Amino acid sequence: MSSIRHILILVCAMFAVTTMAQRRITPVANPENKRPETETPVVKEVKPGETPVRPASVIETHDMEGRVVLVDTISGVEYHDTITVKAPPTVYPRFAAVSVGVNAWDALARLAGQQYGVGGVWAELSIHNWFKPIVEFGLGMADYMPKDESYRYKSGMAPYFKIGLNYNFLYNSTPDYSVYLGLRYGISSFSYRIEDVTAVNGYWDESTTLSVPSQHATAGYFEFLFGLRVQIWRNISLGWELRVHKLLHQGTHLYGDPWYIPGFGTDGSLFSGAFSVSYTLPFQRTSKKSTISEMEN
Amino acid sequence: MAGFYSYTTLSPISVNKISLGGVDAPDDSLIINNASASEVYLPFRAEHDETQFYIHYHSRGIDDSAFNDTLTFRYNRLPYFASEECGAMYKYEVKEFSSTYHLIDSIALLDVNITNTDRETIRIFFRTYTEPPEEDTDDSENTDDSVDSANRNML
Repeated sequence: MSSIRHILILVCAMFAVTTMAQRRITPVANPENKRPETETPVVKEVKPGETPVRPASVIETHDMEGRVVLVDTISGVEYHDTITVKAPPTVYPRFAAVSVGVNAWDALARLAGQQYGVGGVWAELSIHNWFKPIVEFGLGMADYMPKDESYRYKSGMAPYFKIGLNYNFLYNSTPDYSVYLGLRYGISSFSYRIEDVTAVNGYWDESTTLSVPSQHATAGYFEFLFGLRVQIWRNISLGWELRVHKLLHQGTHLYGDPWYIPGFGTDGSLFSGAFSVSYTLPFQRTSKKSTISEMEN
Repeated sequence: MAGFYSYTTLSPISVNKISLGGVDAPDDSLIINNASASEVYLPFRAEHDETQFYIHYHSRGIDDSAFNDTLTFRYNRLPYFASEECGAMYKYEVKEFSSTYHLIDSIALLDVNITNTDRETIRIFFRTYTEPPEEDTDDSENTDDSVDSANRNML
């Protein structure tokens, strides 16, 4: 009986030792997830009156209305801040002014001996003194004879139309000065003919006089330009433009393509210019200083 | 501009020892005078609706005028403005063309509109043959008569 009691005590002791050993093997909590109490929290707490630090991946830019836009460059997500930003930075109103002008480039060039071109008038709407849609109407003609007088190229008076847009880089500066890039699409419908042509064939010892019949053409072209405009007196301004142009379409012609295109210039030329005298009528008298002070207030 | 071609290989060739001129040209002036050529500018007459050219071969055995070839072009003259530099001229719309076929095999027009630009619009195919490889390299006279460096000779 005593031996049976000793065996039972021994078995109970073995179970007790085994249970204690298992409790030591299984951890109560994952030590990797346990943050020391001294470590900085992941999300920094912003104390009252302290400016939050923006992550380096978030950049600040502005939209067309001048509002601040925060862009996360990693995810590409944009955040439009409509609360903290007070006012758009554009100084001038949406419809700031309208300008009308006369392009006198060809008229001046004709005084210097150019045998083509007449001139044009244009009207421009200033939006925030920033973007300026523009339309232009003009007339062109040519009566050209080369130095060797081997032919006379004639193109009667014909209209041209242009439509486009200027981008003013000084949109928040005074409107007295403009530095801008512009795009234009122009189109013209006109007739042309070549007279008094002398064709010499040296081998056959023949000299022939001929004329190329009148032909009609409708040509469209594209212009990219850089311009400056300066107000010289009250609302009168002078403007200069350097234009790079390319013919887009003109059709096919049995007796040869036109050489002069109203509003475009001569075929084969890459550049043209413009010199304008213009008058600006502001829709709203806006003082830049007062506007900025209003924004600051 | 007319280019010379072999009718067997259809590839460009240089024809040796030919004279080419216009029929009824003033002072019998020549465009090519006893020289080799691979192409030639053929000036059409601006005061007529037809122009003829002849080719005389100077190579041995075919240098008789009976072997001359004559090319005839009939056309409409269209006044044409080319550019500010070139001015205006006639553009010739070829209605029909013909040739004698002594050494010429055929003529092809790439474009019926002929202008004075440096663009090949006429192809003249000559009868040619390929010389067999020569064993005797001292025969210098044969070399003189060769049409081009590729050993293609006119028949």
